[in-house]
Formats: sequence, structure tokens, C-alpha cells
Amino acid sequence: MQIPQHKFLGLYLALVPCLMGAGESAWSEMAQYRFKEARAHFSALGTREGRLGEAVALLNLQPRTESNVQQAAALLTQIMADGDRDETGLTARYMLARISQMHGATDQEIDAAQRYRELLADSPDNHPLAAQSVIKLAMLTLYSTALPREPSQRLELAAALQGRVKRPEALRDFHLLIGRAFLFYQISPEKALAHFEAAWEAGVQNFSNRSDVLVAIAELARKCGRLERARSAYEQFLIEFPRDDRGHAIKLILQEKGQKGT
Amino acid sequence: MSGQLSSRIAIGLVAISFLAASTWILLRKSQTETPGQIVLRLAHDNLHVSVRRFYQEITREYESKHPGVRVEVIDVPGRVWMGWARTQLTGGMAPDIIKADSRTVDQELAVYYVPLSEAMAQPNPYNRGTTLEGVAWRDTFIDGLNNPQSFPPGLMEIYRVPFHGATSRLYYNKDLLRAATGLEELPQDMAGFLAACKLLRAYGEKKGAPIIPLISFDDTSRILFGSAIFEQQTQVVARKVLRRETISSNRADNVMGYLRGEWRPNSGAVAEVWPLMREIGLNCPPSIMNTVRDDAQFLFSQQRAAMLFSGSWDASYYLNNAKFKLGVCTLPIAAAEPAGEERRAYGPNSEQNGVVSGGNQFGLVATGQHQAQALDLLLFLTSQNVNERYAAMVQRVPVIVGAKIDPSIREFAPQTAGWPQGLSFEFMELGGGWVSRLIRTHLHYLISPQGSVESFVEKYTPAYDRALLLDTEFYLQSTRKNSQRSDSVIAAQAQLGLVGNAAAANKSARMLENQNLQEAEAMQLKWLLSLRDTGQVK
Repeated sequence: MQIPQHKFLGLYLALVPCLMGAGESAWSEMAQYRFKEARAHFSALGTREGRLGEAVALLNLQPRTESNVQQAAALLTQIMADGDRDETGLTARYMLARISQMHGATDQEIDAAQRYRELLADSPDNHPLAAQSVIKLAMLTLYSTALPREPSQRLELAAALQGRVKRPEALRDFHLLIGRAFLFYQISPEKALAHFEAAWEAGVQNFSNRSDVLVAIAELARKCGRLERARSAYEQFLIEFPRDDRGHAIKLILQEKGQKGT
Repeated sequence: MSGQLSSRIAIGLVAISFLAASTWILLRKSQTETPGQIVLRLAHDNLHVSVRRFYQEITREYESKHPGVRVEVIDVPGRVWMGWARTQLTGGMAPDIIKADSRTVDQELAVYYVPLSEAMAQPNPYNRGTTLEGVAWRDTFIDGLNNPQSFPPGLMEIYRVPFHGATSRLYYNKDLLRAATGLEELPQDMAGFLAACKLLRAYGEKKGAPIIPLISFDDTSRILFGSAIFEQQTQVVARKVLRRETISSNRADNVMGYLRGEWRPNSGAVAEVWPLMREIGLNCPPSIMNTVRDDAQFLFSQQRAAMLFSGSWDASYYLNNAKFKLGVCTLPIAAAEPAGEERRAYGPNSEQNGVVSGGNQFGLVATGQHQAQALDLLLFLTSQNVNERYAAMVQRVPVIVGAKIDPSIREFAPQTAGWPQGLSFEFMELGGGWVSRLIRTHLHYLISPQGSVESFVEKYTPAYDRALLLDTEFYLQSTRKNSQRSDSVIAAQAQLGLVGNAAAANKSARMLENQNLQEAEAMQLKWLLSLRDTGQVK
């Protein structure tokens, strides 16, 4: 939203809550890292959405305290009790899983995994946060030290979640995650390549991630003997990222390939 | 009684000071603003005369193009800059455009600055008639603003734009070099360089006025031994331990290689770097990691040091003030290693991505009353023509594509035909500073005449493991905090997306892409740490 100039600024700020809706305005504040202000506005709402916003803001209210995190968890649990399948309820469930995984004094990865699994069971494809539960679950499956498994078993279990991923951004994140895991555990560069290709197809958005994925596709394709694909990915990289510090190395790789006639 | 009197005097003085300050501010405001006129304010902390002159000239030019706009440039001394800037920002009185260097944290950027991403997708109108006409503003910067200061990964928005870049170089005294070696230029191979150092030292001894062949100061010593030597000489090992297949590695990749036992500071290719570093370091004062800038500059200016390792930020001073003929070149380390030795480096480090650093970036302040006009000024200042003139006037490296580097500083042009850097020397990017402190307190064992490679390795390596683990723990804590902070913001963006705000939905998706990759990387590190704890990796 474009902020208007000088003399109307005060009027604009006063009217924002009316124009946007009080809840929307408070979410906008939170999106700008204004957790304290957002919390104050959410608690004044006295609605279910207000309780959700207050809980989410409490997680980052400075100074961060365990009692704030517990208060947030209590508010989210209360929201769930009033309904856990609507948009507000699904957000509350996702945030509770995040609290278990990331916000508590100690990591509770098994509890978090269980919460993500339950959320996933409710087919949350039309909710952007609930749809992330499959990614977070796959991540815990791949790496959590609280779940003792062999790397190949981890990869198998995580990859099996693919059928549960529906939203394009979740599909992108899923393939990036699994592709990187194949490389980390040094299992099947071919499968890693397939996942990176799928992630690329789904649309990697961030500049540096895009450049890394394209280079990984080129490098893996070269190592897997798919030389034409390697060449096209290197060339695409040079066009799309002309000022990346890998450009010189990649030009030399292409020259070498040209000399070998491949 | 006397106590009461003192209190009253103190209160009175405070009241008078408050009134005087208020009056001054009110009068100043009334002097600066006239009806119908827009006053833009730009604040920076580079008080070099050439920089101030540039701002003076360029703002007058901007004013002539925009009648009704006046630009005030506020010069603030560097020593008080951060305190001043933070007070202005939190008090809601900040200038419209303000320098926001790498000390400005993500949350400050998000709260006090305007995201520029939307404007970045549009062409810069001040590039009309140049080679950049019609090119998106972002793509007019030499690194596409793909640096963590302009585009902080945690925020997923462009917040800052650079005015100039920086490269590190070796300055040398040509008069001394000629007198000591008969050479006009510093040799561009390591053997020739070391031989020249030896002759310079011998020349000083013969004259009875000792000459230090090479000097640097705290910050540049870190660049000299870190980026220029260690990180160039470990290119091959960094690539070997990299599993992400991205050609260039990040610091987490380096740590993972270490945790898997794939490299150690006291063995293999890394251990081979120390003798070379000693050979170079023996030409420096042993206290080089703690030498202050003024001392190093004094010794070089007084011709008691023949070479100074510094960067383009000092070009203006030496090019204009040196009392001797000045030479500038890169450290001649990129030459191939002796035949038969296992290759440690592919070639010189690329300066493509590192040229834009956090030192000189500017942002638009969110509380500014004239944001559209301030954005226009920022576009003007980062146009090809203005950037070229700026770089020439202040003798700095331009950052806009096609802006020609001034002939006087052509040696500082970034080397783009190079390779990504190798292993990190100090692991500063992890944020803990433990490895860095270890290096600062132990390097003298390596580079002092009384020291040796063996004594350095013996004292340095036992503590290295602990230092790197502490840095890794710090990094994991930072990553966790980032995830915690971004959770609330992602949730907020997603909620806005659910009520039809497409831009917010998109931002939430972009932030999740990064959050997931960062969390996965942190979990990989934790996995490897747990293997160490259970003795599965040594």
C-alpha cells in the first residue's frame, strides 16, 4: 500500500484501521515487525482473530520470555477449542506446532512432528500455513536427532510425503528440501537432480536460491552424464545471473565442454 | 539547605537548556521550510572533503532540475554516527535518506526504512539516453543488489542501495622499490614479490634506516591474511567439501566439511597454507593484526614501510598526498603454485560479488514526509551518469553498470575473472567471533621471526576445534532467532493473503522458501554435531 505524503499522513494513519478493518491493520503492523503495537491492537479487538494475533505477537514481544510463549500457547489452545478446521483454527494449530519446534526453552521435535502430522491429516491445501506442515514434517523426518533412523530410511519416509504436497510454493519447498538432503547424505545425485528440476519447475523465487539451484542442476546433470541439460543450465545461468562470481568458472566449464565436442 | 539550593540550580539549568534547545529547533525549522517548498534531508558520515564537495554540487544540480525542492546534506562524524542515527530514527525525526550500514539490523530496517523492491523493478528514469535506458533499477547495480546488505535474506526486500564499491589492493612506494631492487613495478609472482621484500629490508639496513617491507592495519590485516591469502589458497579444498553442488560455498558448508573431518587446520591442503603465510608475514611487523590504521598509514607515508595493504577507500588520500611515486596492484598470490605440488587454488578470487559491501549504503526513511521525492533523489544519485561522476570525484569504485572507473583509480577496478573464495579464515559470518579472536591472539606465532609454522600449529590447532564449535553454536542460535522472528511476520503476511492481499501472500511464500532452507541447513549442522558427540565422526 502506497503511503500518502505529508499533510494527509495523520489523517491517513487515523483512517487506516477503518479502511482496512482493524484486524487487517494489526496484521499489517505485525508484518512490519511492530509486534508491540500489533499486540496492543489485537488485544483491544476482543475477538477470536484478536486472540490469534495477540498470541502470534507475543512470540516476538521484547524481551522474549518463556511466560509470553506459554501465554501464546494458551491463547492458541483456546482458539483451537472453539474450532480447529477453519482458517483461524488452522493458523493456531500451525503456530502451536512451531512453538513446539522453535519457540520453547527446549526443542520438542517429536511433539512438533506429531502436530504437523495431525494438521496434514486434515488436508490443509487451501491454507498457506497449514500447507507448510508437510514441509516441516519432512524436515524433521530428514534430520531430527530425536528420531533415530538411518539416512536412507529418512529419505524414503520424507520422499513418500510428496503425494501430500499440493500448493505450488509448498511443492517448491518440498523438492528443494529433498534434493538438498540427497546431496547431504550423498545418496543418489540422480534423484537430487530430479528434485531440483521439479523445484525449478515449481518456481524458485528468491534470487540467491534461484542461482544456487540452477548451478546445482548444471553440476549434477554434468556428473550424471546429461551433458546437454548441463550445457543449457550453465548457459541459462550466465544469462540470468550475469554478475554472479561463479560466471568465470562456468564460462571455463563451457569452453572445456566445447573443446571436447560435448 | 545547600542541598536544596543545588537541586534548584540543577533543575533551573535543565529547564533553561530545554527551552534554549526547543527555541533553536523551532527557529531552525522556520528557517529551513518555506511554504510550497519541499526540503529533503540526506545524512551521511563520510566527512572527506571530496565527498562533501560532491554532495554540495550534485544537490545543487538536482535542485536546478526540480524547482521547489531543496536538499540539505547533514554531515555527521563517523564516531557518533550510530548513536545519532538511531536517536533520529527512534525519535521519528530522521532525514529522508540516511546511510544504513551493516550495523543496521534487520528489525531496524523493517521498522524504520521503506522497502525499495517495487521501485527496483522499474527503470531508473535518470538513465534515459544511456546504455541503461529501460533497464530495471535493480539490474543497473553491478551485483544486481545480490548482497546481504541491500537485500537482507531475512527480510526478502531490498532496503539499501550502495553509492560505491570497494576492493583491496597493495599500495607501494615506487621510489623505494627502484632504489632497493632496480625495478619499476612490483613483481607479479610470489617468488619475485618475496625477493623484492628481502631487498627492501636489506636496503633499509644498509642505509641505517630500517624499512618494513609490508604493513597493514587491524581490518586490512584480516583481509590480507584472510581473503587475500587463506581464502584464495583454500579454493580447492572448499570445493571438495561442498556437497550442495553450487560451485561456491557458504560458511555453513565449510563448517559441515570440518565436522565431517574432511579438512583440518593442521593437515592436508590447509596446513600447506601456513608456510606461505609465514613467508609473507615475515615481511610485516609481528603485531600486524593489532596495528591501528593511523600507525600503519604514518609508517607508509613516512617511507618507513615500503608497501601498505589497504583498499580503494584510501585511494583518494594516497593518490593525492603521497610524497613519493605510488604504485598499486593486487597481492601477487594468484600465480600458479610450484610444479608438482597439489593444486590449492584455481586462480584469483573473484571480486564480482564482494565489491559492494555494507559500508556505504543508503535507505529511504519510513517517517519521511516526502517519500516520493526522496525516492526520486535516490534514483538520481544512483543513475549511471551521477555515479560515474561521484566515483571520479571521490576516487571510489563505481557500482552502476557502465559507469566508467576514473583512470586515476583504474587499478582498483574489480577483478571479475576469478573464482569463488575458499574456506573462511575467521568465520566472522557465523557471528560468534571465537575463531577470529583465536587468530588475532595466535598469528604472531606464525609471522614473527621468533615463531615458526610448528609453534603456531602446536598452539593454534588444539583451541581451534573449540572455537569453531562455539561459533557454530552461536550461528545456530542466530538462525533459531531468525526463524522465531520470521514466524510472526510470515503468519501476518499469510493472514493478509487470506483476505485477498496478493502481495502479502507472495511475500509469505518467499519468506517460507528461505526459512525452510535456513532451518534445513541448521538441522544438518545439528545432525553432524550429534554424530561428533556420539563419536561417529572425529
